[in-house]
Amino acid sequence: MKKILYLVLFSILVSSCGPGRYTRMEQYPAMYQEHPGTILIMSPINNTQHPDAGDILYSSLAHPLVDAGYYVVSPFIVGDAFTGVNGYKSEDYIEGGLKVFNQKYGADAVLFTVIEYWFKYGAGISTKIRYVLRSAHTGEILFDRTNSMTHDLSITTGFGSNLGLLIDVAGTVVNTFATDYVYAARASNMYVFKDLPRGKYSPEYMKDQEAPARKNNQNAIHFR
Amino acid sequence: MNLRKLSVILSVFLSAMLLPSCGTTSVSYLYYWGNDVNSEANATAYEVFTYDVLENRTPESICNLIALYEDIVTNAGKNGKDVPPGILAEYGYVLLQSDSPAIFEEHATKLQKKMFNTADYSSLFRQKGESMLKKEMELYPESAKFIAPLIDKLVK
Repeated sequence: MKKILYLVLFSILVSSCGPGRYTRMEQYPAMYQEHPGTILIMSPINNTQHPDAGDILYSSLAHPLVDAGYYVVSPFIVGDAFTGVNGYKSEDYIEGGLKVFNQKYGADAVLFTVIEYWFKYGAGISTKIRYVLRSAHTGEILFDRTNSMTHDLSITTGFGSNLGLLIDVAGTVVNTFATDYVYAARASNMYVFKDLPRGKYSPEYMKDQEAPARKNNQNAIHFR
Repeated sequence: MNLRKLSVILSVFLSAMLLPSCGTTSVSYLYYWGNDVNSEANATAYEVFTYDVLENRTPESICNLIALYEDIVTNAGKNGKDVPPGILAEYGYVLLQSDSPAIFEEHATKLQKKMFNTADYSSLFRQKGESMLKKEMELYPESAKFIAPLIDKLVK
């Protein structure tokens, strides 16, 4: 009986990866009302004991948003600008006023991420991350998703790029440990942002209202 | 066939049907990110190198990042893609950091140096950095709000 229970539970978990029963318009109407074009990414709020998790997630957020058609204010430049600013914390802004980010960076929306857990076990990594996109104009929440994900990392992959030739192999090549974590972060991001209404640089811009979207707060298993 | 066996078979069948939808898929990026494999299983060089600089900021990580930006700017078209929005801004920003020319001269590999046709990194980085920032503003006018002040600050 236990075996059946496990298999049914597994099926339920995995089924969350399938297409959703909702549309993007139904799930994220505010995105279609506001049409944010420029997004600024705040440094992740890290509630875990893994000190590197914040930087790992931070470095992986721009890519999926840019590929979804948004202009993303470089996290690299913003990160540097805020380094050394006394008392700067994303926690102070997640529910506060965001107009300063529109005035200074031209951001229409600000993305906050909260890492609830992030740990490695055997050949896998488990993550739970909340993604909240708020309007920099009105403060309204435009997109809010929490994704719990288990990543199977048993198959190792590399860059597959000729860029490898340019890397200083004698220097500080990013190790497998780090690339595994970057992989886990990007898998979670890509899974969540697959639902995000497309931005103005995407060919799907304002044509994707009926595209399927998943329900909020997903649990998923991801296999490499 | 009893109900128990039927449940097991049904569960296995359901799992097998649903499993691939959550596995690695081939994706087509809008832009060129310095990685020629369009697969979710591969972190792009951009993600890994940006993380390395954010986390470690060693001279070698900065050289890797400069080489990566140069690769993206030079090879995006050859890969039939555009340079991602924001990359020109980042590239210009990194080149215009006061210590970047010396770091590159001292720590870049031969292959990385070969990407540039000069040894005068100071002049090249200043000129190229400014040009990258201006090009970003030209292509993406929404960036002017934060790039114009950056140019004022970094280009003297």
